[in-house]
Formats: sequence, structure tokens, C-alpha cells
Amino acid sequence: MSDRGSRGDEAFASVLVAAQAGASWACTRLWSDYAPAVAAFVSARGSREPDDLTSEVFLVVFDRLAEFRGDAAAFRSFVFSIAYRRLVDELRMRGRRGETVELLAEEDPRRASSAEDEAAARLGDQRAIAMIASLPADQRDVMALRIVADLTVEQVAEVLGKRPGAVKALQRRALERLRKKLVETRTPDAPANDSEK
Amino acid sequence: MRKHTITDAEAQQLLSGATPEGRPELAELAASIADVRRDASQLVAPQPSAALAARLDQPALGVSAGAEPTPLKGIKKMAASIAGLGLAAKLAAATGVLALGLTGVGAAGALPGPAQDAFDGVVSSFTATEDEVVDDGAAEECVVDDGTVDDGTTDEGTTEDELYGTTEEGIVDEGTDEGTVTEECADDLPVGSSEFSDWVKQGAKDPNKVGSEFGAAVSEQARELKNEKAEERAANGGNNGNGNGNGQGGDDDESDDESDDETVEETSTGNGKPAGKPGRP
Repeated sequence: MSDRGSRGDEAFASVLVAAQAGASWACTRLWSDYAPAVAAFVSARGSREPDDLTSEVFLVVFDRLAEFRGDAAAFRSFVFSIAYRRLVDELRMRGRRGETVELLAEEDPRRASSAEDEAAARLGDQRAIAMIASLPADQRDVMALRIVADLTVEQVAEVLGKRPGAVKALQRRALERLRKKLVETRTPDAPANDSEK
Repeated sequence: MRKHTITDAEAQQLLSGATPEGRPELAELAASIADVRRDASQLVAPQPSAALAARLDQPALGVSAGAEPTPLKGIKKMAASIAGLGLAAKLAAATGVLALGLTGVGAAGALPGPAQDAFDGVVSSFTATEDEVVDDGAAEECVVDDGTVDDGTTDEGTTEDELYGTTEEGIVDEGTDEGTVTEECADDLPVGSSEFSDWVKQGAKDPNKVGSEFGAAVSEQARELKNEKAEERAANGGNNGNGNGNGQGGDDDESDDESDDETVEETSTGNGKPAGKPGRP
């Protein structure tokens, strides 16, 4: 296990060094490894243009790559710190503009989905967005980073600039809230033990 | 006894998609989180933006990674061989701006010696290939009256095989040797390297110009400048023996533009050229 981890660290280190030297293959590798999670995170947190935002994030990542020092875990925090800041910028800018949000029936988490919906949409995306969007902003950040971005408590704390204890408290509260919502939104069409999984 | 709060340890388990021991009421929540985690882990990277794609090994949004039609292979290969020009290659397919980027600098002789040599080679193959694609472009309208160019690049019956056999000599030099250029074209075409870039920039912004036609015109002009530079270099090598010729930059370009290359002189300045054109001291 540790041997595999060590090999992984070595592989990451070599990719990082190459990317820092400007090798496009290495940048591509970093993009392929981290962009999906970044795109999922910003999407789950309400970005209107998650793909564009992800590209912007990686432009900044590559610009600042030379100053980065650390292992894969630290790099993940580094990437998501940038992603979070860019996301906040986008949300803030949108808030200033007073942009309206279209309420779509199919995105309503209280709606029992049909089999067609399940087949047509990516379940995870729908659920992630529905679950996380129903939370207060600070809990939303923590849950998106913990679940979608797969960061540890410590990494989330670093990204959000909070103490780990605060992050733990936020995730506890978020989970409590989600549990209650699941009970409240349970309908005859969507029983607790349905077989959709 | 039934617990009502979630501990840190239970939260950790839930967030990893597992149901905490002794908390069956959290099974549904755990399953939902597990679904989300699984789906998030299966996502693939989105298409990078154009700006980002220029730094990656993959094409930008909207550029197919599939096999290309044969005539475009040369363009693609060339574009891929020049770092950072993947985006430019994509844009140039419609606007001819690639010709600006490559020929503008290269034809001006502003590249270091080895790079200039490489450029010369690339332009030879690229412009021939481009002519294949643009068979009814500016060259057809503008270059010559005597039909030499028409023979090489006419719009009738030009097959891919014929096009691959088309050499730059066949298209340009023979035609320009005859030395007749229509006034319309002479007015449009730049004379020296120094004004070439300006001409290309203005043309690229001109909404009345068709991208492909303009690209062909740019290529043709670049080719002429390239020939001019090649002869200059050959002449310089024989005259002053001054090393490999890199780094001599703009001053030489300015003066060399009016060198003894009859072909370019006849083609570009022989008639209709405004007297006040810059770069021709």
C-alpha cells in the first residue's frame, strides 16, 4: 500500500517537474487528472459555465505552477484553492449583476424522477447539484469539496481558509440537514428503499 | 437507544459512502453520497478552452481529433510541429490568420538562422498544400495575365494528385517571371517585409476579404518574400561571408527588400505601386 503510494508520489513528482518545465504532455496529464473534479466541483457549486471556469482555473494553475512545492495532496489543495477563488469571483460577479436563475421543474429536488429522467440524465450530477444546492453556502462549500472534489477535512480547511474543527462542524450540520431532507422529500414514487441504485 | 446527531467519525464514514455501524437510518444518505462520489469519479475532463488547449497536448474545443482529409494533413502536421500553434491552426482554417502568424514573421526573415531555414521548408510545403485547398482564391484573380498560374492552379480538373505535384515554382515563379500583374493586385500587395505584416493585419481585419482567398494571397506574397530572402542569403553568403546570417534583423530586411531579385521586383513593384510606400528607401 505504502509502496504503491510511494510510486504514485514519484510519478506525480516527475509529472510536476515536467509541467513546471513547460512540457505540454505533463500539463495535459495534470489537466486530465484534476480537471474532472474541478469541473464537477464548480458545477455543483453553481457555476454557469463550469467548463470555461475549469479552463480558467487551469490557466492560473499553469501560470503559478513554478511557485508550487509539494506532493499530490498539496497540489490538489492548490488546484482547488484556485478553483474556489475563481468560483467565488464568478458567483460574486453574477450577484452584482443581479442575474436571474431559471427555476426548472426537472431540477427540483422534491420532484420524483421518472425512469426516462434517470436514463437521460447523469444521476450523480443531478443528485449532487440537488443535494448540495439545498444547503446553506458554507455547508455547500464543505460538502462539494468533501464529496465531489474528494478532499480531506484538512484540505478543505486549507482551501476555505478555515480551521479543521470548523470544517468538521459544518459537515456534521450539512449531513444532518441532508438526512432530514431525505426523509421529508420521500414520496410514494420514491420510497426509501427503492431499487434505483 | 437511537442517536440523533452525527458524530465526526460517522460523518467521515457517510462522506465516504458507507453506512455507519448501528445507524441504519443513515443508509439512504450514505447510498446517495456513494452515488455522487462514484459518478464524480467517473467524469472525464471537459474540453479545454482555446487558450488552455494551446498549452496542452490536445485540441481545443471544436477541433476534431479524428482523421483528417489528406490535403489538410500537411497543415495539421505543421501546426502540430510548432509549439503553441494548435489554436492558431484551428482559427486559420477559416480566416487565413495562420498564414499571417507564420509567414509574417518567417517571410520577414526575422527568425534565427536555423529557424528561418526550417520556416522556409515549412512554407514551401504549407503553401503548396494551401493552394490545394484554395483553388479559386486570390492567386487566380490576381497573379498573372498570361495563364501560367492558371495552368497550375485552375479551378477546372485539379485533382489531389495534381495538387500534390504542384510546386511553388510551378505556381509562382513561372508566373511572375512573365512579370505581368494586374493593377488591382499590385495596389493590394505589399512590397517589402516591413510592410508585409501591416498589409496582412489590415487584410485580416477587412470584413470584405474572404478568409480563404486572403490566406492564399498572403501565402503567395510570403512565398515571394521567401524567395527573395533566400536569394539574399545566398548573395550575402557569397559576398561578405558573414557567418550564418542569424540575428541581422530588420535593417538588413529593409535594405534587402530591394535586392536584385527580379522576380519580386517585377511582381510587386513593376506597376501601380504607390510612390510613398514605406520600407522602400
